[in-house]
Amino acid sequence: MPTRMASGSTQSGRSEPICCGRPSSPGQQVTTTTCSKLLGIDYSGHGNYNPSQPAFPNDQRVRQSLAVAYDGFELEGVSVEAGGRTRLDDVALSIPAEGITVLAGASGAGKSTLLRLLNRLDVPTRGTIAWRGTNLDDVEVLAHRRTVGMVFQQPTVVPGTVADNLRLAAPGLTDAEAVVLLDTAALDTEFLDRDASALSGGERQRVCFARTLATEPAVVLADEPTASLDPEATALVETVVRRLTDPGRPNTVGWVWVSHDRQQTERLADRVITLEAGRVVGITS
Amino acid sequence: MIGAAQADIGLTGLALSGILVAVAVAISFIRRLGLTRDLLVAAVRALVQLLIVGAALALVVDDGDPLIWTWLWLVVMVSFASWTVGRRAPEVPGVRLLALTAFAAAASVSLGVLFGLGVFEPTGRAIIPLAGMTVGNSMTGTVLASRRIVAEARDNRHLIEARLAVGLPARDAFAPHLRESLRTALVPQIESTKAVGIIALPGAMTGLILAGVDPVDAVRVQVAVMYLVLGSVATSTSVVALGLTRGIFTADHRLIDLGPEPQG
Repeated sequence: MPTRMASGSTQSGRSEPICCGRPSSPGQQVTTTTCSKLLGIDYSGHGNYNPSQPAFPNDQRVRQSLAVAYDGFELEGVSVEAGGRTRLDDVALSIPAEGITVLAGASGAGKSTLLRLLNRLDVPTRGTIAWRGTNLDDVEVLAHRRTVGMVFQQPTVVPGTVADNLRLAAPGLTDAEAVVLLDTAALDTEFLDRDASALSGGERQRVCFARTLATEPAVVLADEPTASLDPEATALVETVVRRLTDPGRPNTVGWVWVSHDRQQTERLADRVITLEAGRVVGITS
Repeated sequence: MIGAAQADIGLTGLALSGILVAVAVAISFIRRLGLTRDLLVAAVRALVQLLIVGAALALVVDDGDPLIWTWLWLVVMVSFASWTVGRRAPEVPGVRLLALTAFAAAASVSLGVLFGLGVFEPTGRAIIPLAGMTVGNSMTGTVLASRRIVAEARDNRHLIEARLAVGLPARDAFAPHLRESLRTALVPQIESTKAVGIIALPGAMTGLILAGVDPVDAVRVQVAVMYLVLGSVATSTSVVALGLTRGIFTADHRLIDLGPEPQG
């Protein structure tokens, strides 16, 4: 799997070493070995430090010393209180923008609440969330939502054809580009002119995936997207997701995937963050 | 010209018209509808309220009276209407202030056209009833539009958030639902405007004819009043739509929690 670096995608395929500063362009490589020699910092306790994969808050200190933005989400003391309930309680977490991170836990554990915070559909009652080093309070929210796409539990298509749905996300999309998106989501070309609301649940959900991908996101947040699908449709969606994280692809997409299906978690997850009653109780890779 | 003999029904006439209330009460009693008390209260209350309003109007509609009383009357009317909207649509955030703005806008536009272009003379006798028509109908439209807008947003949160999630601004994400809400608020007014004269004779025209005005003259006034109502409702619902769209979304394009669906 390619390493998605500090401030960008791997689209360009460049691997230009930088040190002691934020990468100036997408795809730049952070070479911590050189940095550590220059700064005299001992990274032995962190193994091969990779700014795209710090699993623990301790790494944040190291990154700050390097002034390198973490490629992903960083949550500090995040709490959400709504409807008289604490939905998230003092969550501190790093979620990388690569591979598939599954948010696991029982219903009501706070998984969907956390996901909505990452897309800025909700805001925390307390605490801060940063994306690639910038506090979400300071990001341009519409651009952020295009960089961090979201697929919901219910396959929600807007009235109109499949093409209309895709162009909702990318108004200038050509038919040829739309066909590529459909292909990515395992849908035939003929779907383009079909009434989106007349499709099956699985087909609609794949249209939602294609629509989300139309904005060329770095990460897709998926809120139990197969919960309402049959096993066959679920398998197809999982194939699509796996395909999009394939290291051989030019544009890999990271996933933050909410699931309470243990088997699906085992099939998909590169890392699992387990929540219980609004708190993080486990992080495994 | 108003025929005084036709306009003044006298106390006897008023008392005799009460027979029709007795008919309604009798039907309620015989059919055991349980509405007897409500009917009597409504009839008496309407009589008392209108007598008070009539007495108060007499103080401000004389041509010699200063217009300040008329404008004060208008302010009270608009304030009371805004308060009423707040009571009828409690689930709508900030609806009272919104209604106040909407009524002020509707009154300014509609009365501005009618008085500014000299359709009516700006006297207390003309301003108060026309403002009453403006505010009364705008109130109905505002309640309908604001409740519909909030219901559309609450019922279609998934669709709205699907649009927000691909980076659409709140205004665009909500546009189809806003359109639907405004249509719902305006269609009844348009339909009643279309049906006028065929299904029912409108109130202002009926009153003028009963008061002895030539029917063609009465029609001219009525048509102007209908256009006034149509313009007022369109203006007030547009203001509500604009204000409420800002009210139910945050500055960073999030749909606020609109709570559970109100009962009843």
